[in-house]
Amino acid sequence: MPSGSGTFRARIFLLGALFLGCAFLLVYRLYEFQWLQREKYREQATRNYERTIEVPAQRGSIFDAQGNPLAVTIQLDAVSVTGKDLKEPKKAEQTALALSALLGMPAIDVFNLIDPNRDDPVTIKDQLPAAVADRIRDAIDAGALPGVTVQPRPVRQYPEGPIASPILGFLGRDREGLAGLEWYFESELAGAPGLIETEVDTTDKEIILARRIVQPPRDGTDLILTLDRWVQRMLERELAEAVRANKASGGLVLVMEPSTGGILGMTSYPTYAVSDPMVFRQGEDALHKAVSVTNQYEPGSVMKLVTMASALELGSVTPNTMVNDNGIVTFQNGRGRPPTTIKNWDLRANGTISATEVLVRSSNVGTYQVAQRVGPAELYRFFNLFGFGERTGIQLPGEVPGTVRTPDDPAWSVVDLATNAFGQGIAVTPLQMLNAVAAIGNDGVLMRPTIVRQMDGPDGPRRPEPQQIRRVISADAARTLREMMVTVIEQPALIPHRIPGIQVAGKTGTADFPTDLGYNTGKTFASIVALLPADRPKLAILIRLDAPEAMYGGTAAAPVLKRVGSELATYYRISATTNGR
Amino acid sequence: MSSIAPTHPGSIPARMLGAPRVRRPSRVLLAIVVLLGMAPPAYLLQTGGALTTGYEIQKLERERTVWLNRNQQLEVEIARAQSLAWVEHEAVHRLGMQRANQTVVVRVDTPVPAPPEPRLLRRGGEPIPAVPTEDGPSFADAIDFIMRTLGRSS
Repeated sequence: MPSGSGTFRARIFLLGALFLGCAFLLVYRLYEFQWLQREKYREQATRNYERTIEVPAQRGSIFDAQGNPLAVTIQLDAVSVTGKDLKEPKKAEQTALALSALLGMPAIDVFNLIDPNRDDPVTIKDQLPAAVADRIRDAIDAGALPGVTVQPRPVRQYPEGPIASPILGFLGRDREGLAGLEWYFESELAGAPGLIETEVDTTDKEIILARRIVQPPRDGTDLILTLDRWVQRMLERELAEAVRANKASGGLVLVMEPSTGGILGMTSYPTYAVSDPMVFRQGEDALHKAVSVTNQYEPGSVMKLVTMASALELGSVTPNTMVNDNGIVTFQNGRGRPPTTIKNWDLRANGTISATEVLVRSSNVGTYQVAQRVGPAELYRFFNLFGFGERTGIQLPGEVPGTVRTPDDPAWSVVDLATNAFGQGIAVTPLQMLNAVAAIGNDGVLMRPTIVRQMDGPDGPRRPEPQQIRRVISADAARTLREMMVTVIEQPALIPHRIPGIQVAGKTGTADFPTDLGYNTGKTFASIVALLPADRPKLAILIRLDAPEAMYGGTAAAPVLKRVGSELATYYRISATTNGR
Repeated sequence: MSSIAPTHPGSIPARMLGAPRVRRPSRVLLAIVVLLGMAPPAYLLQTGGALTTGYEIQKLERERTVWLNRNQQLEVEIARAQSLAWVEHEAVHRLGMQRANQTVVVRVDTPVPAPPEPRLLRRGGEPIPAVPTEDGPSFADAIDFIMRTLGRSS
């Protein structure tokens, strides 16, 4: 039976081949699982029992110059309920009743927050007082509150209350800085979270012995500011009062230490409260800006100091150089266009007056004549040297460089030379203006403004030295200009606003609001800058009121300087000077 | 005891005669068996102990964290109680004080008071220099002077 035997053999062979094929398939699948896809399955298996826990870093604090905390992060307890653990309505009711008694909340409110279909914990109340959190923890330990957990959560606190809000800035819901220093120094303040790897059992409970620290958390850096809480608070109080008394739409005050460029106080009004739980409201975003660096304005007559400084430095004038102020300057604008006239603020002619008198009387015409002696190229060079048209580099977000039109600009004309010389047609930030004045107080050396004195991180403290930008005028020219500024403050019209016992160098300024319709809106920026004491300035101050009823710097801002300057002189123990009356 | 049967002098050892050998468990083997038997419960005991200790450590760490958090909260409370806002609130509402309308400046020739001691920072401990001062009497000195003058004249 060859054929039958052959068939049998063929069948055996076929069966063998089938088994072999199956075996090969199995081996191949084994090879595929165990070798080719080993990483994938290893990962899946690891994911089943391994867990990575992120350990949050402690956010850095912000302190004032004396070490008083302005913004700190602490852990406050929050109570949550996991709905899936309270599927039975009776259980949920009991928990709601027990929690409401502990939290002082209506039981129905608590009950409504318990959703039996949710697997994730729902926060019932956060920022619990410690005693309440303890009572809830005890109840949980006693088994009286199933499904309830108490977990600490980081909360930013402001022990000094809402001071320097636009400077400090605020955090978002994800605890990232969204404004001010909190935004600017986000990476330094936030630190870096740590990582812990651990394993869990089949019930998803952590096996405590399996814990290993992969990366320890790196706490955030503390910032020590140059701001002083007392100065800041006083400025905020006085500015709010001045805005109210002058029926102004707003204002700002800046105080700087000329020798270091350190900002001792910086405030603006209106503002917001950083400690307010609803810190950000739609449509109020303008309040969150540090307007002293983000907004530019036309400084008005305060700018005459820079024009005069350049003239003194170049030797174009001395304090006694006489100029003829006939009250009006006319510029022809070409055929078919009306001429441009420049007049003094009081529409009067001052006659032949000295350069010092130009400042005392705040003569626009006289200042133009001084600017003519300096020349456009030199004047704009000095504007640039004093820092106008470039950012100061202060550690605050959104700083603008200002707007300075130079002779290189095709639209520039000689009218610009005249108006820029007395602070119109040029836009600067309040900080730029104060820094330029501070340079006059610092014997002609321009410093880089700073608001952070020290950064205190895990690697130890870092304290950058005060940074000198450049010398802009000689010490002699600066001293001479300060003497001229003293004469400005000691003129009879400002006698009622003198700071008792302290000799002050200063200059008032009044600038019209520029609008699309021109300057004639009847609204002004009334400002004053001051150095005190005049002989060896310790403080540089800028005060500006926006659209005050009294309109002029000498009538609206000067009284504020008296109040602020007196307080500062007492606080910083600036003694009466020989010439101070 | 030897596992080989006793022999008599001059006789052939029993093992050579093909007599059945009597084997007894050695002490070493017994010890191994006992040790092997004890290993699992010992391991379980040790692991259990370690786990208990681990959970105890975890519990203590949690407690420590709670106390550290409480400490931070208290520090903030202290800072809040020392804040100018709180001091002013207490002065006005509890003590009935009010802000002076006018600051009197009196020039006096008294020795220069020492500047305040620098305060220490939280971390690092580097002292911050005192506020800039200028030679001259403090407000307190002036008040003191006035009081002394008034006392003399009366």
